[in-house]
Amino acid sequence: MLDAAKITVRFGALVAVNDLSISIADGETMGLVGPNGSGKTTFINAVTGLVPAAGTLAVDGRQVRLGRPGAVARLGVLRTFQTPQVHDGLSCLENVLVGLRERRLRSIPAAWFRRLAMMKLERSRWVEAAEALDFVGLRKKTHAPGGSLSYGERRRLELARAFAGRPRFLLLDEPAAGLNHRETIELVHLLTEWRDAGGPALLVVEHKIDFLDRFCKRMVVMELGQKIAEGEPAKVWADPRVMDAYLGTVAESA
Amino acid sequence: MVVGVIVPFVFGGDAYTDGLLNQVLINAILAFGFYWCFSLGGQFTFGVFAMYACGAYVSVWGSKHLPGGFWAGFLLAVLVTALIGAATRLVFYRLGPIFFAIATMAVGGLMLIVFREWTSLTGGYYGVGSFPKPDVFGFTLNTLQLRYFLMLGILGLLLAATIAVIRSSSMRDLVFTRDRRFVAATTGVRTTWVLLVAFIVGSAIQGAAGSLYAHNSSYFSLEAFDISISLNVLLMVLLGGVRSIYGPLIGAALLILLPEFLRDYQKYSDLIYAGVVLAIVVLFPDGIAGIRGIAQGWLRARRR
Repeated sequence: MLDAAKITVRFGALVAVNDLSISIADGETMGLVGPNGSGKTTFINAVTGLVPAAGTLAVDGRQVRLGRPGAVARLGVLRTFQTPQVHDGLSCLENVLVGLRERRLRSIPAAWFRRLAMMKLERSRWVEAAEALDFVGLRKKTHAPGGSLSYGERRRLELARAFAGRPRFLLLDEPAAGLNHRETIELVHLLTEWRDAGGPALLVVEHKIDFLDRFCKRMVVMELGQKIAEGEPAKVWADPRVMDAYLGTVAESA
Repeated sequence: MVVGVIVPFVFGGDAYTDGLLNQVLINAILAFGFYWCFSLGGQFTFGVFAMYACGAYVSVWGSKHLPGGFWAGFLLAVLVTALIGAATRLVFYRLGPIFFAIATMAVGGLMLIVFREWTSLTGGYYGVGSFPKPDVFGFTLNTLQLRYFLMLGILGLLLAATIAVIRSSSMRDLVFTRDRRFVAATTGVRTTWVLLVAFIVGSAIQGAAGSLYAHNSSYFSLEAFDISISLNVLLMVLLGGVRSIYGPLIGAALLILLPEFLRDYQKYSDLIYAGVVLAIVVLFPDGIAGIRGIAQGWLRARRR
């Protein structure tokens, strides 16, 4: 259970996220929607510690201090970014290895004083990272630098890094943005396969509504930093406030 | 390395050249400390001159007061500068890169004031002398040339230790953290710790360079240390190549030896010196060590 309670994020006078509480059960898939600027990404940033926030956060009942990105990640809460964050100079394999769950013997002192053990562990790490690349279909790019990948491949590489981290909760920030129809369907297959194989609970921020409907059992709708609706997709879409706030803007922009 | 062993036999002999070669090695080690902070750890520091001074003074004190002579002083210098580096990094760890660089300059300035006033330790502008020369297994290294080989050995060890890190599991965490700190943090890498270790190692190497400087001379004073050392070291690393572990050594050799070669053209030496530096910076953004990569790319392009 990931329990984010009364999360508030302020940027000066602007309240980007206002008293928002979301809890995600193990294995659940949840959608987070709302118009642009409603605070969805800021909420994810707050939970993963990238922006200072007020409120409480608990992972399986264990309290985590907000604003500490590493601490929450090591409890199994990982994320992807709206623009995929890949290191251009490191190879795809290395990009994945950074995110590997196995964190022992990775320090600089270990490279000097426990070198043999480190090298031994390194082999199993490579196998695991290669499996993650296999999972997202980037096997052929194993040794290609991250900078040589296309946009869609970068998204998949980021997903492979998250996969290698064996998260309990994964927060996906617009995972289908910039993908074409075929790539979006591939992504749905990938995530479904992962979920059915005992993967993490997902919180998906997305604008593509068909993507969410196909995928999520439960949904939270945000507007101006606040939660305005929560529940099954069909019920949520029928909510007049949601229609007004969200679908209204979609209809306008379409 | 082989070249390093041969050099003193070919060119050495007179005290002046030997002294110069030792200066190259001391500066190479100092620049190597900066390389660890900046190229590996991604943290620009202006405090190199203070770590250098601190290493020198602590080492002199240690060699006089502790059993073990030079080596006790050397180890103490490494330890103290490592601790000061750790403290600086931890205290200012929330600062952005530019403000951190300024903070290191301020800390360095403060340390220098301390050294100026603490005359019982440093002798201030009068300087300190009569401390032991380096020794290896009880054999005192009395000549410049013998000390050259000691420093060459230490530099070789440092290079080997650095290659060991570059070819290990720790390197990618370091690179990722250096370039994408917040992304690295969200994957669970202990970013603060990773950067701290690189900075500590860099500071300790700078301290070691200070210790070697001190014990290579028979006397030195506060005049030897000012902020221009930091600028010189920066220039060495830039000219030699920020991305190569041989960059600091190449840069140190260039910056120490170039003015010597230009001695015969004294009238124009400054001009030529500036011209060479400018040419390298403009033509070879990765420094001298980057020339190989450029040449390889050029050859590959021609073959097609």
